[in-house]
Amino acid sequence: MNIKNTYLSYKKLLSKNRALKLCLRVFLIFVCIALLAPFLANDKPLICKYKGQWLFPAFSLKNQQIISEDDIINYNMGNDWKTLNTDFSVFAPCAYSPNTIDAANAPRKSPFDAQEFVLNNNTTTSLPFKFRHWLGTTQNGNDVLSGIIHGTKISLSVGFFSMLIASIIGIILGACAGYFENNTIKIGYVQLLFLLIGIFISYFYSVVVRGSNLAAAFTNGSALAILRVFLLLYLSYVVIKGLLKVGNKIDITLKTDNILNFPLDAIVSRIIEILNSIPSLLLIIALSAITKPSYTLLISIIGFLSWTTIARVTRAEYLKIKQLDYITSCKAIGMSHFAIMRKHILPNVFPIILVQIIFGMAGAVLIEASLSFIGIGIPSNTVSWGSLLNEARDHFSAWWLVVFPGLCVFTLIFIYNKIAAEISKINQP
Amino acid sequence: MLGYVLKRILWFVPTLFAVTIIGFILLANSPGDPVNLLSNGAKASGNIEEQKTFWRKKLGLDLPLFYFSITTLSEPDTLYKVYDEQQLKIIKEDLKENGGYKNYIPKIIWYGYHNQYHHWLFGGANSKGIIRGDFGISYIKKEPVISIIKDKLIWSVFFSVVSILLAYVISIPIGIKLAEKPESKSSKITQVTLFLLYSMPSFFVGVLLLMLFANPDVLSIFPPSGIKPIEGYDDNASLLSKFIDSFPYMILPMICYTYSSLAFISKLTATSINEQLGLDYIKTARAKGLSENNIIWKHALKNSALPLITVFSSVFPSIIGGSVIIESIFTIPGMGLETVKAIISQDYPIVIAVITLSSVLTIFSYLLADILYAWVDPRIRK
Repeated sequence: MNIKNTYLSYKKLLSKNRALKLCLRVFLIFVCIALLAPFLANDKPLICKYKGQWLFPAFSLKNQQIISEDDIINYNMGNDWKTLNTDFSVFAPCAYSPNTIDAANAPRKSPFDAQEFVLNNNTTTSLPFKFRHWLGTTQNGNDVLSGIIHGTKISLSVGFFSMLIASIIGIILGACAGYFENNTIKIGYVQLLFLLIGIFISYFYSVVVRGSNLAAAFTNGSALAILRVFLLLYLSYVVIKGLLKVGNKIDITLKTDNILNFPLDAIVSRIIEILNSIPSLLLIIALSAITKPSYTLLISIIGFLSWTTIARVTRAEYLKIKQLDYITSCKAIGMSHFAIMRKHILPNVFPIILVQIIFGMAGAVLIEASLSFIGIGIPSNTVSWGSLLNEARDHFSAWWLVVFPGLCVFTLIFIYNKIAAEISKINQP
Repeated sequence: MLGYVLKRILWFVPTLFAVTIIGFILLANSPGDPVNLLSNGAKASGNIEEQKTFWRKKLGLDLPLFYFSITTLSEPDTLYKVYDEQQLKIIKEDLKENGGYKNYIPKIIWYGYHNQYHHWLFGGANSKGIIRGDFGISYIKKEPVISIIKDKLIWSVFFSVVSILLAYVISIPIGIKLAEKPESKSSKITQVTLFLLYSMPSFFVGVLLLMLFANPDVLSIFPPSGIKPIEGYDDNASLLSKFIDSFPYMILPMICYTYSSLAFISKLTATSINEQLGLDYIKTARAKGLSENNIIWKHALKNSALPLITVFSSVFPSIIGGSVIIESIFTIPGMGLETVKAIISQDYPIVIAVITLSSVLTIFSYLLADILYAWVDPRIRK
């Protein structure tokens, strides 16, 4: 099967679909907002000239700048940047960070209210146009627009990274379960014994001996923790594979090889069934409640729990495709199982798996927003779409706290769903 | 049929076990020492150590965690008897430094059935075990968890079951309309609307509904929170009058519970009826001169019931999970709200009880779906 050709015709189909193109464009805007968030909404000026010195506070990694001996500028002065006596300054389009407290507009100013500004000499005037809270403020006087801009980053990254984890696990397990089923892999008695020993050894050296380090990495919230999990899984794979090879040699000399069927499909299906029988939102809430609130953890929890749908779809597709003639000819010319799975089946089924991955992204965004809405498992100082909506729960008159963040969550989920639906329409004409 | 049902039930036993193990792992790893929480009241009276030993014994925390444990050779067999977390940390660090090669040699200790998991699941000296409905003691209220949850369970199950039924009742006719005239303008509009609804997050809809219909500034048609009048029901009110009293409180939450599954079920109805309409027996029915309504409702719908039944088992867990959000928006005294409260006050036995119970409910919904499936389609029960 000519993969390049199918890919091209696929691309043609994609470019013909106008709804899909529109959705992709809106999605691109979301991505741009997320990437440029620190420069779109920041309480530090992008450029300013202070006492004859040019400063770039928004781009700087430092916390302070020494102007002269008795004049040190603290970059984290929050809202005081606006009243600083600069010769010249350019602020970001939204001149607030999500946590900047604007006390003058404190308890919930609507976008249409008269917004106030306190000058250096303590006189109050109306807020200058460039500092306006375009989407209103929250209880503490945080800017809603800034929260939404920075929340985009959170929502997109939770969706993307959690599904990255989920698709790695789901595709590998689903492909193996579908391709090998219950009766392709045959092992001997010694191999089975060595397999159990291998699982025990890898469990012992990665969890019992080094477990405390891993737990510490997760509590610190470092993203490397996820990488470490995968590294440990890979090392275990290498150890088990080595042991299995040795076991095979012994089996051959004892003439006990290829006796047992290894029920890979049954095992994977069982795990999927168990995970599916626990309501995932409840489990995620409970897990994120007993661990320290952090986004790394939330992403990995969602990722490690939501691979089941991807695995199920992958398994079904592999089951279907492996019966086709071209797979038989691949086997006949002596290709390895792994090469067939990766080079000849995966490219053909990936569009179908992709639909599930994108649906999963919508689900992950929804879970993150729901958790931050009820305020569990999310670091309390981070502003996200859900936490903004949460502020409206006791004050329904503050409609801007409901409508804007809610519309953002809705739009992102809608786009994901629409893209997935359109791709699946192309998959099954 | 009976054999098939028994086989399915046996098939679910390992899953149930796995679910309880997951619940127990969560409980065992929850932060904080429950003994400290429970003996807090004894601080004033001074006999705090006595209280601590009492609660530790009562909760069974003086036992090993599981049937066996896998540790390193350097760790002593009775390490589980060290209760103080600080002390345990010091001992573990000491072992790590001075254990030498023994830190890298595995050891399996067998404890037998006198362990926390066994007592938690099957009951022991002080508990009856979750198998008999005893989920332990709430750390905050010091009452049995099951008596706290029991009333809440009824509300959650009521809302989820009624909303699933409502979703079916509303979306099957919609699905049929969509299947009859797939290209008409009205069905296209319906499809778009359903898709938009499907993408709406439930908390957004909930807050929007409250903002529009339970807000004195806009429209104050429905009460904003709770499930019954603040003054409570009349003392000797019948079930019906209680229901009528509570009815206005139920409408907004019910909309919230129902709307998201509408798109899913009606789409499924449409596709499976469409499939049926192309088959030969429908042609025969048309040739016989049956009315179109009769064909669709009596013949096609019956045969497309299979996928609709499967959906039931996938809608149920998402509704149970969604109840956490919806119940905390509308302050419905159900399991979801109780979970959120328990998490905030670190009352983990309640959280675990809710998870285990809802998983059991979910497993039973799968079982029910399987049995219904076999009942509708005799080919399945071999």
